[in-house]
Amino acid sequence: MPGGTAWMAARQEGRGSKRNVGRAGRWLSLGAGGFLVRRALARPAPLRSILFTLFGVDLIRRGFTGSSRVYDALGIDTAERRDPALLPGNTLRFSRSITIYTPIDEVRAFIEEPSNLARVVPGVDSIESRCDKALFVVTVGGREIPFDVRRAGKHSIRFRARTWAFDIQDGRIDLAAAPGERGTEVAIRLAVRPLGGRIGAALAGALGDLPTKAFLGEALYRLRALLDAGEIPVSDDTSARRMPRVASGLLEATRS
Amino acid sequence: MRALCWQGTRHLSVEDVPEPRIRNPRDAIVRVGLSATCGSDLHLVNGYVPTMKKGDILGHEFVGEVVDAGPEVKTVKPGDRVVVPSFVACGQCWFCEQEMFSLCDTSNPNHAITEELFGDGSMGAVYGYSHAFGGYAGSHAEYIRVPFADVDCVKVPEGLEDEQVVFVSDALATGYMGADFCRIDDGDVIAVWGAGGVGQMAIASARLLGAERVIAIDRFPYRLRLAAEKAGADHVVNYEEENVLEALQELTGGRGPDACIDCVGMEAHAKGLEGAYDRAKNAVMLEQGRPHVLREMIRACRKGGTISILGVYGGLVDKFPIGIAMNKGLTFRMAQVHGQKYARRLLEHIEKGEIDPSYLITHRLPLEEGPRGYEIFNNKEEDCVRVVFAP
Repeated sequence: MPGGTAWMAARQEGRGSKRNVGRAGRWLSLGAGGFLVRRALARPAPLRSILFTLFGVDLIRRGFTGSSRVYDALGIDTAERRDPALLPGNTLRFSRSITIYTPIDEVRAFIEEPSNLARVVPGVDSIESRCDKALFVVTVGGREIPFDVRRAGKHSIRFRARTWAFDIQDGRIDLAAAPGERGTEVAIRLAVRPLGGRIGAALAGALGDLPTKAFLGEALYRLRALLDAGEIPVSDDTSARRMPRVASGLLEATRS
Repeated sequence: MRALCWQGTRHLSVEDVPEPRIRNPRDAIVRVGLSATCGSDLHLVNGYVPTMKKGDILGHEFVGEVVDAGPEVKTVKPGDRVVVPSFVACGQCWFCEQEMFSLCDTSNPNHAITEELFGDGSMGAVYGYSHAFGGYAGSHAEYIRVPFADVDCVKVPEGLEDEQVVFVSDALATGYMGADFCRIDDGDVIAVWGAGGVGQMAIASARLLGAERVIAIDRFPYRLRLAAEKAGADHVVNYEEENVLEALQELTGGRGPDACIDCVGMEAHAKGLEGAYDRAKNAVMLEQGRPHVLREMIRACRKGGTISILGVYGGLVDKFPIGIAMNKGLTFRMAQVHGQKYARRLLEHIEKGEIDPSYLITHRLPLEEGPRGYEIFNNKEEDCVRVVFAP
């Protein structure tokens, strides 16, 4: 599965769906709509009753169908990524892509080497491959997490955690040659299982799961820096004490 | 070592800080010979740039000597005198290969800070210029670490003094890039707003690149005098004494300048209602900067002309006359300085005596007097153009 063009087409297909309201929004719509209709029927007043009834019925329709005309006009879609009920096992899905100015074969060879991945993935102690690279064992804080890894076509790699105790459940890395000899488009997609079950997933989804986004952004930055520049730049000692957590991890990783 | 540190808005101090060390194989350590103040530092000093932290070392315009180099540094070695462009660039990513060095994809380790703001997290990095721009220590210190030394350390030819070459690091390269943006043709008239260090160099560069006439606009008589006597401006306009638009119309036969260069940025001064409006919106955080010069340039520039923006802007600005710009068919060109693209060319110009930026230095102080130096520079005291520190 290539990165940019094919991925965009898939996203466009997804937007053809009318369902654009998340689970919480649909429940709220049902509740508010029912309240308005009940109030209109309880205290009849000509103009207000008509308005309340119309608005209430529309909210109930919104709740039942999950489709909002206002969201559609504004291009908002809370159903697509933020509704954990639509995803199995309370997982959230994230994706991100960048272009690296390195030929696709070099990128592929680089990411298939576990020791390279260990430098790229934030917060990881080490990554080892076993079973002829079909199993990658990621060590985080002294704890080993096994991932099944398989190639899906020449430029696509899929991985799945063997344990549900780890927050990253599965994902895929897709490579595609960038147009105009601009290197390689790298797309990463992750399924993440936030702590706290359904409530945790709902909270993380509503907040956009910033840690996962930062994690993905940092991993892709490191990948590009290593491949394009040959090293991961670091800020200076005088600033390091006050740097954000992710970047501090970067410093530690580079020192080691 | 001693270093000049930012401690808060209009609060600087000289502190003992750890000496830099080689952190990556392509790093070099440079002993700073001269380090200059820059107009863009004033945005930091005056609190306009977020993500500054107490203790950050200022300074991004410097010349010095390599004292240590990482194992993968090939083209410079200890003992080499080098001038270092202000933006850090890896030299190997796509943007560096296109000579857009200040947009380097890899040099900013704190890319995440600007990611949401700029829509792309790969903004370049600059020494001593906030954590959003990389968190690299600045050059107002005895030593500085220079990443990607093969790309970012440019050897100084023998016979040239530090004073002649220090501004290749930023002010001269920026001014030259601004003139280069104008694609100057025969008969072109170039107007330059701001006659500080970058403005002076933009004027001199426009002259060097073949402008027919150059017009300098500022409010300080001593800077306008230097623009005429040293940089080569044909006309000067003091905006506190005359109407800029009327003066430019008169000086260009009613056409307007072929290109306008903004060397002022977000802290422009405006009189009357416009100035009051911007100050009020800035006070309530509804605008970040006062874009008076941008508005004036768009109105002044001839139809189909070029707007070249060198002055630093940090966020949203208001009442930007895009309708005038669109209908006049203006071309906008702007960037942080792609210093590595111009440094060697500029050193050749200096060697040949075609340009001499050393007159920008009006004050030379020891590093210990750094806070006083910035006070002089910020307040435009003692006819100050640029202060340099000799650590």
